[in-house]
Amino acid sequence: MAENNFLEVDNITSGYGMVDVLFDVSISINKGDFVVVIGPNGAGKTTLLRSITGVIKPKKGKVYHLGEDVTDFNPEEMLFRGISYVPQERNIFSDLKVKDNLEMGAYSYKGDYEKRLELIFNVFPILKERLDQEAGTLSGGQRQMLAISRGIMMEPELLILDEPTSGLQPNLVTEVMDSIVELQKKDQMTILLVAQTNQAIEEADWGYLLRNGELILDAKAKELMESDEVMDLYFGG
Amino acid sequence: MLGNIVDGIVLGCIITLGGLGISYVLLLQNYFNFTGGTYFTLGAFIAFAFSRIIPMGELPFVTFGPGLLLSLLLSMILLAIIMTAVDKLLFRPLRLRNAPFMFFYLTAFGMLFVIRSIIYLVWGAGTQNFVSGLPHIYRLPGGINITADKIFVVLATIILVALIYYFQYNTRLGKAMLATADDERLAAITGIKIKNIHTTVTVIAGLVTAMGGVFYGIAVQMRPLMGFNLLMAMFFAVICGGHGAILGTLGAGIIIGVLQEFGTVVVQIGLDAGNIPVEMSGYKEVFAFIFLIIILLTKPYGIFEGTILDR
Repeated sequence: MAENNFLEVDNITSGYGMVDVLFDVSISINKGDFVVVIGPNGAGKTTLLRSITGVIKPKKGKVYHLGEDVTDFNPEEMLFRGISYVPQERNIFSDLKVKDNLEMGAYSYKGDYEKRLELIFNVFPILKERLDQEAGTLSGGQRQMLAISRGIMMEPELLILDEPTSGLQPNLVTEVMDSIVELQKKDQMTILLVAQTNQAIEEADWGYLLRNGELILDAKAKELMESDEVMDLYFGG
Repeated sequence: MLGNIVDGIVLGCIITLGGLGISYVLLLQNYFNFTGGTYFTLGAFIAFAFSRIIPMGELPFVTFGPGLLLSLLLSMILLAIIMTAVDKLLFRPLRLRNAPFMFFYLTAFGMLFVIRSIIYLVWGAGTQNFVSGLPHIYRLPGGINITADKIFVVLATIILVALIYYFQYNTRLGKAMLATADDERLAAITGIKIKNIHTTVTVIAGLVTAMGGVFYGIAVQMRPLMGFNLLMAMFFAVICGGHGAILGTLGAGIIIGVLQEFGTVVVQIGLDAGNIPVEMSGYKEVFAFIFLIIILLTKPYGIFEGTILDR
């Protein structure tokens, strides 16, 4: 496939057991883009990310990465292809220290580990101060920072983040979002982000709107923000 | 009396080794391995078989020679292979299917009878000893009589526990095991090879379990039911020591060993004084049970919770 078809999700239907959550959803991500997926609770956003990263297998449809069919790949194989996934919950090893979480993030990393740490400490200096602290005792914002850091230790080409600012105070939302943007620029990553915040949509190049497991709209993020569908969903018309 | 405490410490070290094997399986695979005690016995009997064909030789102080140490090493390797094969053949398919934990327990229970039958079939129902000579007894102040063999068992256990502890908390693989125990799904997403982690855990469990069995054979003697009889004490050491805590299991193992040996004698003295014709040596596990109940009621996350031993 062409360079601009970095990741292609082609008509996937996915769900859990007998229940389908996602119906014939297709999305496309260009290399270097910042793509946001929005939608109300239960829209299937997390299921979409899980289907892409191999956490669950789509029941129908295909996922292509750089033109290769990766639908049946497991999360570990996807990670080795440069696709890193940071789930919304249970995204750090709570019983391990911060430094061990970072070390585990780079478990199979062959590059310069110290250089990765340096990048992370530049973006999240607070983590450097908390290296010997048990991750489970970090604050909500710090946990998200650690989760993102763990996710980028392998120097991924595509970072997939599931609501990294969920449950955070407004000032922390801004801080975490700014950090994600900074990381994207410094590491030249492609980012696929599920988010509910204005800032995420403002920063994104492209956006997808999901509702009830179906893709309602895809557009440039700013256009998406002003669309009637989004207004209707988030502000009641 | 002090001698009984020393015997308790020796027994506690042996319980610890068996307990660590069970603890690792519990930590990563979330089920109590009922087969742990029987693997413990199998490890001892495999070493016994090797010791019959390997020239024993001599070592200073202890009653055994380098031949037994080589037999121990071979037994550890062979038991690790056997346990890994059983894990891959029986338990891995259950894990892949997310089978209910009852299936794991029933499978482990089934394996217990299979291995026990093999032990009876190959080595018979009698007792066995690694060496036939009488050990030299060191008489220490306070009426403590101890053999060099038992001192060897205690020192070797402490060294092994220290090595495992170092491996667990200071190596990448050890930390990956902890990470997998913490959250297996996240570990997979992070690129940790879960299959390798399960294999590593089973291998470590095999190594320590065989060592425990052989040490029991050295310090006491080998019996086909020796591991099964110690199984409850091993479980209790794991529970009381704290989930996955290596040092905690050692601490709890020693406490349970001492309680069993010392408590039995104390109660026996009381019973004898009251002319009550009960032989307490058959009820040693009662002390471990009482200890477990007290711990579960007062410190359900282990006796060393919040201390350095809670690791």
